[in-house]
Amino acid sequence: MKWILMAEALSSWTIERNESIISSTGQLYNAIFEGLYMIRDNESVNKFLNQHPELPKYLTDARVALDSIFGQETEYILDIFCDPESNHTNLSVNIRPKSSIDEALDHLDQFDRQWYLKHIKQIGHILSFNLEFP
Amino acid sequence: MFQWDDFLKFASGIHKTPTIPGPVEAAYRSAASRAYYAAFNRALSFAIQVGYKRSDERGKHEDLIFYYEGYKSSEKDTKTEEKMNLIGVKLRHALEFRVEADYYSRSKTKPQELAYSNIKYSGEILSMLDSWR
Repeated sequence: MKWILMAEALSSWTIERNESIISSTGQLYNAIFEGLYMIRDNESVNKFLNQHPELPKYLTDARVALDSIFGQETEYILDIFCDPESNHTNLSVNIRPKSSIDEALDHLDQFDRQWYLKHIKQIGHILSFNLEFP
Repeated sequence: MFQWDDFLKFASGIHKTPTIPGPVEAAYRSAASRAYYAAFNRALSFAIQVGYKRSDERGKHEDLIFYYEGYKSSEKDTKTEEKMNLIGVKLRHALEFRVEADYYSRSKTKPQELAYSNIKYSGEILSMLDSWR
């Protein structure tokens, strides 16, 4: 329920968004995502989120769908993906599943079909989801 | 003329016997990369057949993925639209792993898993494209 409350808070913040009241956007994003996502590179991720203020509501919504498919023990890390050949960058949710790779690939396919495809035309080029097996 | 599908057969082969072509990690990284290009080039050929024209607004890989992810069927054919969009999503997954394999000296995901995943993504993309033949 924690992230639903956060999503509600975020929604009202988005509506009332005013440059003059945001003194530290990075701290705000950290507070919003505390417990939802780990952040690999705070400065880069916060900078990207600041450039795309529509993303946090998708991230809070996606976490509910991710949990229902991957389970709550899975770790989720926000990172910046950069293609050095084109300099294209997007925010990437790196999913660290506890399951086998076959099961994780099936789960990601399920997430893509159930959630990501519904939003792909709005956010596909700025937000991606991928597996991470360190 | 080179058959792009042969890249997928090659990737599957070096994934099964990684010590034969050389250093194991290089083999896995090559497999991840080659498997991606099998899918990318087949997807590019198909897209051109159905009217894709490259935009200069973004890089060639991102542009093709953007085309598939943003594809809208003109005949309310939701199944075709969903399949095209899904090809874009799987290409994006494979591209991110290919960039890791080609550019990251320390990849976030183990090279063996990069190879395994991209062979699977590529196979799925080729199957979806073949379903329209």
